[in-house]
Amino acid sequence: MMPRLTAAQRRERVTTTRVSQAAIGMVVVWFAVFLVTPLGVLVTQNLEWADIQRVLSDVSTWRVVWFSLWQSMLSVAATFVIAAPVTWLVGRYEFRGRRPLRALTTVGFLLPSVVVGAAFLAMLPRSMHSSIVAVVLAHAYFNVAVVVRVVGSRLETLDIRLVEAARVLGASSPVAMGTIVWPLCRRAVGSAAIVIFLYCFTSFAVVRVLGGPTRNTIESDIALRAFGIGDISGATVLAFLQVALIVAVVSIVQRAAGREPSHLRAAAPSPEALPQRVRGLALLVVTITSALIAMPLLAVFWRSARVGDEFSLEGWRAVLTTSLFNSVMASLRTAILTGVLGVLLAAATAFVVVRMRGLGRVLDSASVIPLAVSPVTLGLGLVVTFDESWYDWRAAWWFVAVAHTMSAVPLLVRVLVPAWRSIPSRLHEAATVLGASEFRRLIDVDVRYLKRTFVAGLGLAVAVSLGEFGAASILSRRGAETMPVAVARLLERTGDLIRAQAFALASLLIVFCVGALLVVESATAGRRHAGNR
Amino acid sequence: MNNEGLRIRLRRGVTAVIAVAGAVVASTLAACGTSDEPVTLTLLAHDSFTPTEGIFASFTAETGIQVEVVRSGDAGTLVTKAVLSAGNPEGDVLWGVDNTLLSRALDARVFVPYRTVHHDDLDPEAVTLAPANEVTPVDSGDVCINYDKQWFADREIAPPLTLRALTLPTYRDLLVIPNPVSSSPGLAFLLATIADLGDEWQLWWKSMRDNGVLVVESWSDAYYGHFTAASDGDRPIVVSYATSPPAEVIFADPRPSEAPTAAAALTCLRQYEFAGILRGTKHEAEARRLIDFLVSRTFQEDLPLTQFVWPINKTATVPQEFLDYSLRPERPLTISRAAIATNRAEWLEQFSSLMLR
Repeated sequence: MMPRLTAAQRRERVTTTRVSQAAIGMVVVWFAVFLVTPLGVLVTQNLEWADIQRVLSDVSTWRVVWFSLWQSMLSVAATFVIAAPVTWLVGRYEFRGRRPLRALTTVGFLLPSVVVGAAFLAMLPRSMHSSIVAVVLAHAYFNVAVVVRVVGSRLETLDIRLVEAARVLGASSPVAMGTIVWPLCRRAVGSAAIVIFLYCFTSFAVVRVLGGPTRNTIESDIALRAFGIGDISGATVLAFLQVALIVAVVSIVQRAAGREPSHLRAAAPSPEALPQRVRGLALLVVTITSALIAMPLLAVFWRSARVGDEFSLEGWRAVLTTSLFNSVMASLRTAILTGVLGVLLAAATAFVVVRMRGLGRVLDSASVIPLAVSPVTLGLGLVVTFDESWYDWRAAWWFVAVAHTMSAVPLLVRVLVPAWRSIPSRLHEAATVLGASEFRRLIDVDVRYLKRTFVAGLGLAVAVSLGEFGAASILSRRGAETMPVAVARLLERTGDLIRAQAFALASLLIVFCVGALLVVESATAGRRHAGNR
Repeated sequence: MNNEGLRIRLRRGVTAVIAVAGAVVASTLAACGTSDEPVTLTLLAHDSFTPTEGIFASFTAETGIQVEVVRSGDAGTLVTKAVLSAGNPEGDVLWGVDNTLLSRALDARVFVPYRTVHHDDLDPEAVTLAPANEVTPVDSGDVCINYDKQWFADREIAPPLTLRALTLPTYRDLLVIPNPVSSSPGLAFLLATIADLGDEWQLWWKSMRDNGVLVVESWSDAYYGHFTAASDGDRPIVVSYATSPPAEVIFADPRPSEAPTAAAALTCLRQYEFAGILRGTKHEAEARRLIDFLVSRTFQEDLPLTQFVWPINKTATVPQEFLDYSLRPERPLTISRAAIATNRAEWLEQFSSLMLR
């Protein structure tokens, strides 16, 4: 007699089929070839034991570590200070223009770090170029979105009646904040802090453009060792040190943030309408925030149309008619390919995560690993691995996109998995009853249901690829440099016309990224709408 | 929402994306061209490679070979890129690897050797730096401390004439240098300090750090971004070339009777630049003819007044005005080829530890 299966076992048994095997195969092969192999080659062929001791016993290594740490902590603090008012407003209140305001704050996050660097060069007075203040402000600029999104969504679902109850029972406003709001938001604040910390800790383009050669994070020191000095072994040691530090910091913060107190959980009412008494304040917050976000961008556009002190479109002309245009095409080509590959790989990963219990859980956690590997390290690994005979792919036009999938897929998986889980199981059951094969169900149920999410994911991957700098600065080649690489190279040179070209190219990059953002926004807006149907 | 309408719209969207992708790919393929066309060589160079416009016309007329010049950053960046793409190069010929970076490029087997037809006309000292003809010397110059004469005259301060003098409090916050890690004059200057100060070079840099030396990314940023005589910057001392003062005269309108800047002869290190054929080029035969042209009299005589370096071909005539304003140190600081090859990485590492981290 057949043993009886539990529901979960039956489900797993049913779904370990050809489709899921293909999905697993695709994901595993891709990451084994383009992530694990390059890192393996770095360690086995380029790392020497003596260098581990040499790098770790050098005082200057620890100065770099210390700088990376304190500048990122300062950046996290600055981000929270700047983001707090607008986050409270967006999270707590419903008002006209709330959605556009949220979208506006997201712009910073999706902008390429090189462009943010260029924007602050354009906006800040010369005396503040090459300063730590510029670096921290730029970091805060593109991370405001993280606080608004992560902490804002938590505030949205916070039940304000708990606070009111506390006030009625005699708690003062600060006490209510400390005992009700903070415990409920602590986790969200912790997650946001981790994300911001990671971005700033591994910052490369911003410190390169705004910090000057004498301020180095671990990430830029990896580049300095590997490319400036040619010390790939030392660079590899630092790359692993960086991963270790990231893991340590993330686990400390996660532990500190703790679990959400369950006795304070409650049903989530939607945000309340803006009360009369805070209108003035709200208007002030909206104005200041919008100005802070828009100003650097406008500065980039302004500078793109100026050569010296004169108005001139020479910069734009050069971008559109000279070899600089090649970089526009290279970026678009790379971004589109990253989008397509990224969606395919993320869909395959999400499929396994959603459908398979054990393996799914493993893959779910494993899919964030590529984020811990810095783009510079990955680029370095790829370039020393695929460099001979038939697998010399250094000049292949798709090589940069391969590296970009490593940054895009983990994010896309985070977007796809919840959406996939939300597919009503009755749709599958109905399709099965009607005799649909597994493949047919995947196409007719899952893909059809998730179309908008895929489009949003495509937009996200395109934005990631358009802005990525670390790997592209190593992998992209003459005549096919991506736009951020070209912008950074132009910014390193002097001359009014060259500056104008840099800012024109940066402006175009802003336009593309905002375009990608609009795709994401409209796709998710449509999805929400469809869900309410 | 109407499902049919959605499907049509999505299909349209997908068609549009495919169309755009197709167009992008097609344009790339079109750019590759066919093999029947005349050969176009790509000459990779650093940003300071600025020969007279149209100088390659006579070469093209004679050989039928077109030349496209591609500049990508400082010499350091250029060589790094060449090392990473060794065997699968981004161009056919590279101009601008200098004696300070040469060993790095040779270790990575970036070039294929070629003995130029003008070999016997070239400065023998330069030729010995690449004994197997891996690369061909093309020019020489001296990297020295330059200062703004007017700035020092206005303040009645004596300009610094030696490296040791620079550590004095008088010269606090006055010097700007290009980063030795990314810029070849920067590296040449680092080597000059090692040649001049011997074992004390690290101590010297430590005092310079306390004395407010400013390190910037590139030579052009140092000279045209911070040097008082060439920009609105506030640093009257800069690392540049012994031939920078004549450039200040010859480019000025009207021409001053004497140069506004000067080079300190005791701080100079001689730098030789080389050109080489990149291993992996599909046009090796044509690339050889280009190398010959680069060391021919036609091209060599163009160098002094366009790039402010000395020709390497002894038969080339140097313009009188260049000779008038130039300083050619008789006994520049030197460091042996072998010492550079052995210690370059370690010295840069020590410099980075002291100054950049």
